[in-house]
Amino acid sequence: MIRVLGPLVRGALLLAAVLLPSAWPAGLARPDLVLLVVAGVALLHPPPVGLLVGLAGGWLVDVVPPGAAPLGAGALVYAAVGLGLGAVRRQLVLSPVLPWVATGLAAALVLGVRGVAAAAGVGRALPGELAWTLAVTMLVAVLVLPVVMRLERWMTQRGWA
Amino acid sequence: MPSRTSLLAVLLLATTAAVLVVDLARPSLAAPARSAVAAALAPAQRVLAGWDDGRVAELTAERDALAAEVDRLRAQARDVTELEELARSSTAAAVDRTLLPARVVAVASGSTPVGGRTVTVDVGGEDGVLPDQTVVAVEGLVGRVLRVAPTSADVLLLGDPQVVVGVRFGEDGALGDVQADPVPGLPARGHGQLTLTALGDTRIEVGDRVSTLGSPDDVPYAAGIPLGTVVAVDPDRGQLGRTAVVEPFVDTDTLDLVAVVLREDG
Repeated sequence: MIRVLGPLVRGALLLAAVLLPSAWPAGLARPDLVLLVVAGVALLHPPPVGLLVGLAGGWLVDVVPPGAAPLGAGALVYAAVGLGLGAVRRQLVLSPVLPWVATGLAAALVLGVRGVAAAAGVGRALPGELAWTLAVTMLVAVLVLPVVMRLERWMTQRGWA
Repeated sequence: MPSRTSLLAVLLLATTAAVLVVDLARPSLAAPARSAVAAALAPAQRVLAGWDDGRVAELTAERDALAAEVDRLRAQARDVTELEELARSSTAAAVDRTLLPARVVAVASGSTPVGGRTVTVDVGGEDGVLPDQTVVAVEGLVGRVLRVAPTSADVLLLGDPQVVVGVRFGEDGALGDVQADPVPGLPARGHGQLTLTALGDTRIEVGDRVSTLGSPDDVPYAAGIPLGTVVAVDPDRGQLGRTAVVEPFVDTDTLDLVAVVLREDG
């Protein structure tokens, strides 16, 4: 029963990550908070857990207004991020900087998919916008990633997750 | 235990992939789900987008209404002078419009696989908003309504690849269209800039004003709404029709108060 609490907290975190950009000042590049939550969880658990959290986060990005089309594309990309970060988590314990670097690579991958899709004629993405989103995400990650990871560790110790 | 998690992960992954395929084939099937989520989360988004004392919103709405009135009267005056030439089928003068003020409460994520330009506004079906209605700001055209939920609506912004607007430009009101994606081979566009393609052989001059051409019943775009100005004319690289760079009047990155154009008789 207590194991339900972990997923509930993660769900609440993801929902907050999707909704909070509404309060972000207009005109400023928005950080990818969902990716940071997915990374924070995926870096501490086996790949399937990261995959599930990535799926949930991606689904929220896809359906919470204004949402994204096609439905499910975001979910698959974030799931890949969760799976990938979960798979390499043991190699990242060498230095506290490595999780941040890996998260940056994951953010670059997500934005890269958007850039490639735009280059292929699906959607629109300007290189400058992608670069700004990546920079702001990395900057916010310095604060958010350790907080999410600490919360996740705490929940694991208490048997919540 | 891990095997159960893996099984669940694989199952959900397969479901997601299936939904993706179905959504690519029939995007309308997802409408009820999107609408339900929108209805559930609209209050939270409204709160997060910020409080205001109502006075600002009221005055801005008034200003928008007056600006729209000026645009309408200008269009009307132009129509009157040009009526003898039996020129354009502008509906600007014929249709009385009402503007429904709205606030932007959410902006599309910048990291989704397919880059689109959408925002959510805090008015919806209960306020009389219908899909494909025009959305304007005081400076000019913002976009059109894409999806409508009971208390919120998603707006497709100018600059989204799906948005192609029929326009008039220049002194004579020559016809053309404005869209985000430039023809391959043309100089790169700056942030937010759009491409004007002239129909026919009209010359495009730097500084030409571009405004919407309008469609029957104002759907999806009402007529005579200012869109932008021409800031550069492209060299001839063999593209069909002359093209130029248009700087829109509205900066879609800093949108806050907008208005949905409702038809008086609608």
